[in-house]
Amino acid sequence: MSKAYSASAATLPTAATVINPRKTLTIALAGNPNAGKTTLFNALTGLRQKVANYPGVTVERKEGFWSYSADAPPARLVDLPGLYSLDAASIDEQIARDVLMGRLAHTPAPDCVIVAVDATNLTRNLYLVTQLLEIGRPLVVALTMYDLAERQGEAVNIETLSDALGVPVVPVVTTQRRGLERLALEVARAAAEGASPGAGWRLSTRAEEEIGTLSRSEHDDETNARLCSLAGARYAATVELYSDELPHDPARREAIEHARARLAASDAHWWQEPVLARYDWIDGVAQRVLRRHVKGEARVRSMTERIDRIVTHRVFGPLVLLAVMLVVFQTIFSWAQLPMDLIDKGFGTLADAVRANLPSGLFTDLLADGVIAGVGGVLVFLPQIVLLFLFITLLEDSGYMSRAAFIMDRLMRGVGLHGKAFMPLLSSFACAIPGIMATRTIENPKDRLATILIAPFMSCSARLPVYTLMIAAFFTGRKIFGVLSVGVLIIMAMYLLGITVAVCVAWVLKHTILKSPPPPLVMELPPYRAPRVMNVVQTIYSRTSMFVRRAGTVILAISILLWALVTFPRAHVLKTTATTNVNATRPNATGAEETVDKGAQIRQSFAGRLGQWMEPAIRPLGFDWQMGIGLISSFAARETLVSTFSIVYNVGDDNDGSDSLIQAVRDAKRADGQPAWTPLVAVSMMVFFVLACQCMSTVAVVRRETNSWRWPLFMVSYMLALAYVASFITYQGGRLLGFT
Amino acid sequence: MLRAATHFIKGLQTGVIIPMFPRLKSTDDAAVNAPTSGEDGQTCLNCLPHGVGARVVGVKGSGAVSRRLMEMGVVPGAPVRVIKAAPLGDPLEIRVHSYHLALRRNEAQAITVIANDE
Repeated sequence: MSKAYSASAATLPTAATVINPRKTLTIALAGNPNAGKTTLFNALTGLRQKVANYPGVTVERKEGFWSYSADAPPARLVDLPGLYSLDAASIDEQIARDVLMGRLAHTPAPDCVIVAVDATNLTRNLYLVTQLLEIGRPLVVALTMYDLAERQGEAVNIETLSDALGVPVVPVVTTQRRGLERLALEVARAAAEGASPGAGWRLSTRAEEEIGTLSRSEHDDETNARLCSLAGARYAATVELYSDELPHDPARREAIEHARARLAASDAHWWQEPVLARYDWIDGVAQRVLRRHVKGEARVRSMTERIDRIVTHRVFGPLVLLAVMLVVFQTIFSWAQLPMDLIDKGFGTLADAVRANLPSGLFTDLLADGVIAGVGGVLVFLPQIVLLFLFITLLEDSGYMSRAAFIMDRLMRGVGLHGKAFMPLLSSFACAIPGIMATRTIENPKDRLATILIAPFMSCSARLPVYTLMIAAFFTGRKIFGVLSVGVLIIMAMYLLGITVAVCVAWVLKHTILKSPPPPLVMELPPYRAPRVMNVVQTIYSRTSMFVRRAGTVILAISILLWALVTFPRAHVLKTTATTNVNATRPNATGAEETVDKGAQIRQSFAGRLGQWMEPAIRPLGFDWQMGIGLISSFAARETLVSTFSIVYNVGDDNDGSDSLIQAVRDAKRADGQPAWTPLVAVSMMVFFVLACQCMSTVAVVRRETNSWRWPLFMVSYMLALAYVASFITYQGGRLLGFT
Repeated sequence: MLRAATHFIKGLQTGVIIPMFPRLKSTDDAAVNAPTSGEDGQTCLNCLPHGVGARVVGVKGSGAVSRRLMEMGVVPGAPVRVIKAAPLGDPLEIRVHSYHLALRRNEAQAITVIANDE
């Protein structure tokens, strides 16, 4: 069965002669995490790639086009999630398996599979290769880190490896683009031949018999008709027999349960058999293929170990982690300021230009106040989000992120969470949406759900404008001990409040509705590597564009809705407003009258009525009806609070609105003439914003990730209840203690 | 003074001082009781002194964790070594074949090893 492949490219036919030039090939790219798969994917496709989700699930689907031959149309290259095995421990692995076996709609079974194999870690990487051989698709091995392995004193004999596996092995050095042409030729040839040597090992006779029976009966099964090859059917039967899940079909389920019982009767460790058989075979291959020099003693690995001596040291480790987090947050909050101001100014200018050049009227108002202000208000966070993604990608790609999880795991487990929850929660400080999406790495659904449910407590960047406004209006210039600014302390307290509540909620959830044994931790600590610029840029780009799309869709719709809520019904139906004022909507014309008009408009609008209607409910928190309007609008997205206040308090639409908004907030009066805002009200408002789930997009993402409305609705209600109670305690408690 | 501090750090590591984080029970039903060396010098990975080279004898239990461990190369005969414990005493960093893996003491307890003769 096995066939020797010549290592020399010269003997190969050119790509054009072996493939049908009209056909677009589908090629899947598989590999262990950290095996250099992403780098290879980027090198092959360049920037021609798109990221989407597989239908119905939230596994990222990365696809690109690869011009592997000048004479053929570019191939469709599908980047599978990084995986150790195809045995479906997580949804990622399940999807990858379905793609490889051609079981997904709209994704044809790949004509060829490229598997990235890390030469420095050959044994474990070959495990996935054995499974790919079993599936029976044409396979080409891209051997990465080949040079690194050599320097570490472990040379891989490529010809022997190719012989042993029965498939071509192409060493690639992606940074120098070495081996990519050869890879293209081998892929074209393998796809044209359409053959695979299949698995080179066998299980015990008993197990083989069971698999034989199962795969024969499966052949009639219509859903598996697409598994054209016998190897594929055999593999499918092996998976069914040995994986945790059982098929839905009752007859099939029974057949498998009986087969398992028969195997278990003869051998208590029957389930280990395929893993052991594969590793046995791999051991044989590795012994023939690896040549160990004595002198080069794991230099790179020892560098990683040296770094880890500090980074995961029991005293320095946590300090390093703290320092890293400090640097990240300091950067996000200081460096991002300049571009944020520029974006803010840009949208302000745009709104002014629209107002100046279009005839005044409803449409112009909609464009300037609804569309431009709304989208601008979200895009202003872009610099912060890009910077946060930059850091997260750098930390992930360098290998530090798993060290952070290693250090934090004990603490996370204290509240019943996984060390892997640390990263999603950290991302949630920028925005809960990427954070929630990052929980996909957590295998256990209950742990994942618990992490999703507490992620919105991390103070995201959308809360910052709210904090900033409150601090600027009431706490500027105040200092404790002459050095510590009260404002900074309050912001830190808000972050801590969110974290503390998240920890408590996680603990409660994990001991009540999401009760499950503590999740296991089996996590690779990859060697430290310098992040590749291209990979970092790609990741930031795809994650950021997701955020921008949200700004362009959900936020846009909500901005228009909000604008309508404060604009209708029109104030001119009111007797209190003179008709002349309504016509005088041109900016700068009769400013004072217009101000009066706008205030009346707000009070009269749907939003205003809603605010007045709910005032009794929010009075105990220290809020009046105008703040109520802000709260309502902020349930769409927190940051809209600021723009809503500028409408509610009649601050002009001019650019330097922020200063006047601060003044307007300070000057706002209640009906009885008392100031509406006090420092205590401001703190109460911030506490409310820390805890309430005021973000439509988060709700939408949770809906998608959990595939039901139950959890997002639960999340919104329990967070709202917590926010109400905490604000109530803050305001009433503060008053009892004599604060104003 | 120094002694007290060392004691405190040790306590932190073993989870004695912080009662909030009690030692958790094993996730795998079939895990493990005796940490002492059994016959033939076999011991569990959790009990292996740090830095001592060993070989895997077997993985106990039949849960998804045991399977995942084996898929990641923790199979009989695989070379294994405990590198260190995390700052709070758990998880452990181990080296198996030629890569490094973090796993909790619970999981490590289910792995039977035999120390190399050195």
